[in-house]
Amino acid sequence: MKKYIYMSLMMALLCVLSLSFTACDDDDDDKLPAPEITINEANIEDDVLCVQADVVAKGRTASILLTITGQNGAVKATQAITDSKYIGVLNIDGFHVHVDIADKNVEEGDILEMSVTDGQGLTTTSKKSITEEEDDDDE
Amino acid sequence: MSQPIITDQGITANPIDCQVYHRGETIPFNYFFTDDTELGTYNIEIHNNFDHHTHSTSSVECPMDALKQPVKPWVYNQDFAIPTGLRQYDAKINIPIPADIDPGDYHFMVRLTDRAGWQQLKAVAIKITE
Repeated sequence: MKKYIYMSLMMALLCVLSLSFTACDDDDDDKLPAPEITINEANIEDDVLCVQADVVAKGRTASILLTITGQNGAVKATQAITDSKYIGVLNIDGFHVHVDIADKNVEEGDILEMSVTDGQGLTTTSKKSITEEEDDDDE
Repeated sequence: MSQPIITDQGITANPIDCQVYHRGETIPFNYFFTDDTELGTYNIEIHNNFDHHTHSTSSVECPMDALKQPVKPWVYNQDFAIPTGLRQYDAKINIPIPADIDPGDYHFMVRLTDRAGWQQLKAVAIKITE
């Protein structure tokens, strides 16, 4: 009789553990991929840095942060993007923002970092080297 | 589910590429929106294109003024709600052009977002003259 009860308890425990592992596997499968960022432009235009990018965020964009760092790693400017057209969406085609860089000594070769965090808390950061405006009509 | 659609289906869409407006006039915005589930919101943004940048949603090339520095460029950025439960919407808004802005080339941007969060962008190149 004791052996029967012991075997029953072991079977019950095995079932609970199996369900737990299955549940964990399902949670992993439900996780959406982290945001994807393609920075198309990070160009100095007088007192602003023109940033253009495309974003795909299957977990919906929750926050976007732009950071400009010098070649020595020092942060020169940051800007949090709160515009409603860019937040809470699955995709942004043609993200276009001007970051104020007046008196911040931003120069060609500095680095723009664009960080997008989605509704799941997953963050992706993409970087691009900053370029200078081209005066092609002056040629 | 897929991205919503900004179309001229059944209407005379406005503005369209290369249209010219005068300062002090009104832009009678009109586009038709559709979605396979439910429309959400739309945003209209107008910014200068004095630096000749592109947004790659149109293959039309309009004659542009020479590059120049903005002095008092027009910046317009407004969100609009679409009534709930709609899969089609005829969007009409009259947008007055300020009389004292820099004339020149501008981009008229429409971003349509559905309830699911998918977004569609339409960028139109217009010119504003004195």
